[in-house]
Amino acid sequence: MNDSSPLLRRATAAVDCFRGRPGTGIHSLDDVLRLLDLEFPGHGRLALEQPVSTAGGWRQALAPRSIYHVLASNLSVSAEVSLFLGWILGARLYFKLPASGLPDFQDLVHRLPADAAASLLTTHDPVLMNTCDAIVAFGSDESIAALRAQIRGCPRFLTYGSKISLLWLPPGGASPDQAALAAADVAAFQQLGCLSPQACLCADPADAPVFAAALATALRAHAALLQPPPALLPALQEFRLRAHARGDQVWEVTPEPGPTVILPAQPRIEPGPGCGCIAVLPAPDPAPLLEPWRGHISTLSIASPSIPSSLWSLATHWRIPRLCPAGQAQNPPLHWLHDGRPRLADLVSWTAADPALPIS
Amino acid sequence: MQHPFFQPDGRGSGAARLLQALRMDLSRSEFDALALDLLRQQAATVPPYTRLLRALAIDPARCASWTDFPALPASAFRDGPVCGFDPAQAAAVFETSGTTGRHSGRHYLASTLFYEAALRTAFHAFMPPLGRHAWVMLVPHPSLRPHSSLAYMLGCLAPPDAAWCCSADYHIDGARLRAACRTPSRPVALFGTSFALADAAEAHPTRLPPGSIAFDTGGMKGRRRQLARDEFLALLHSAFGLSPASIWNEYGMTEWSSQGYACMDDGLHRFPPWLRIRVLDPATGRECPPGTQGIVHACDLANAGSVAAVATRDAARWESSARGPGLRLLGRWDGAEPRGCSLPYE
Repeated sequence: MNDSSPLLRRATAAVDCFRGRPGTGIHSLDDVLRLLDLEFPGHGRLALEQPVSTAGGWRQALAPRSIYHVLASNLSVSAEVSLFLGWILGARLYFKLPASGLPDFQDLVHRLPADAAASLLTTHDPVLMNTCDAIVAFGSDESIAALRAQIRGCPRFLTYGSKISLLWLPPGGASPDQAALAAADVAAFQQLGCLSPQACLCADPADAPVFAAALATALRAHAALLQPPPALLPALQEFRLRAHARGDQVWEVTPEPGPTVILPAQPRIEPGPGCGCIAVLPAPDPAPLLEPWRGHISTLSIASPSIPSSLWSLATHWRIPRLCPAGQAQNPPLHWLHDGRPRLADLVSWTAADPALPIS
Repeated sequence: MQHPFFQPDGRGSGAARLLQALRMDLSRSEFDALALDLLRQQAATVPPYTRLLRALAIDPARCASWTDFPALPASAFRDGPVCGFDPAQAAAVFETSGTTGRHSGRHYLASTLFYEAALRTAFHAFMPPLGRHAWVMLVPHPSLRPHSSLAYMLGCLAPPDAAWCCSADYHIDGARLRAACRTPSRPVALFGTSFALADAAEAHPTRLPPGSIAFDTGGMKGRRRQLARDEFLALLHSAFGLSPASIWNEYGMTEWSSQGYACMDDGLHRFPPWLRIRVLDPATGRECPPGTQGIVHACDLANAGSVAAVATRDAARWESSARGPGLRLLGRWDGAEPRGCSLPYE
């Protein structure tokens, strides 16, 4: 370990602050080193610290000096990971908070050492944004388009848009154990994140009612975690009433509005209100169900010990960036490809010399 | 599938009773009786509503009041026809906008009689006389948007010489707008969504003649940034010289056939007596006392062919002003649309 490396010093300090925060994938310095190795193959962190020799000549990755973030109001996990990565890179960080705030994130920032160089903004500052080397935005397509229109110059603009996640059940997979894993995925973060499954696709339609019932039973164990805030009650009530009006089969996990499993009369994927509302869909051919969501699916968790090659093909065809085991949807490793893109490599720019020009 | 309240041609004893009910002096007891009859009929004849009542184990015959019937969520209109007749026979179909993975909602009207009667009666009752105004429309002409309830509504109301200044994709024709507003001898009545009015105010500010008004049909959807109410009013004032007393807001939705109206001097919506609004506590389902925020449920007798009782996700509370009691709209109920990493920035 090179103690004189500023990057490693920052990474060590950042890991100490973030270790074990749910959903971030940050457990130890090894996670950071693995991320660097994956994103800067052959050189790892060195690519950010000094010129490195490549087949294409000498190169050095240049971290952004400042990053302006625009945060969404549902969860703070994405903001936390962005802060962590920006800190490691040594960038000055600005975070435009949503109007409703992000209490967990704000609390975290206030407790960070000054080294992290993170500032919170309660109002959007387009002028400041345009002085930054990079802009990272979480939001709807409309919000991102609006931000894009405000950008002057050529800062790096990374966006993370509207996404849902799904669970896939292989034939014969409707066991209580798989239901328990699925329930864990559904329950984490009250199902409000882009990694939260919104529907379970059953390869064998006969499994669907069995799995729906098992999932409802498994969700009972998470009922306390899924207790809805008052603000969500109308949406939860509506989820049930609407399902009844359609003639869906409905499993109400709690008597009051809350976690609910439905088996729709006419299968289609539609995000629920969160708090454990999920559809179980017969999907021997998932293509018609996935079509409206091409490019909007984040994670497919698989209730199977391995990925059938047909499912891999399906994932690439539908541009699904992440496959994971059931039960792990909400625990991506630090190096996962959020929206299918590298986390650090997308933020840096490069200085490179032609191969004919070595550094003396 | 027909019933006394509804026949495609608008006939039938119930239909006649309902049409007669669309008047401003309808009493509460008349409403109560009609609403109960109507919902009983709809419980028997509108399949989604029949299924809902069956699932909730509600026997319509045992319901003593229309308030004993559940409200159908407006979003249920996205799941298939909500009507007690063959939707292929609909005289009009109004559509809501869809988003990724979400179907648009459809409101099938077997006859436009109820819709038009409700619209004209309430509009003329709540709005100041606009007969001598030059009508300038910032919504597409109904022929360009045949399934837009908003375009249909304004098409019903607008005089033949109204200036339609908006393309099918809601692009405002600035030159036409400016020309239409240049009416030295006539005040202007400017009709549009909040979105269109704000865009027109920013891109084409024009001092309007005295006596002019703006009629805001609501909706900032798709706008780069939602404007707060005060910000919106200030924008219309600076661009058009309109004070809050000359700005009106209409509250309606595709899934209703009737509308409420607010003058923005107090911003409170009032409703015709055949559209009964309840503000409910989502935790208990009970009516909220005045001043307490709840969620809006409507019972609209003009929804004769679909379902009269419709639940929204709009937050509101009852308030009073010098004009009397009215409904203060507070926006969408929090948590209406969790969308992963996709909530809009504010």
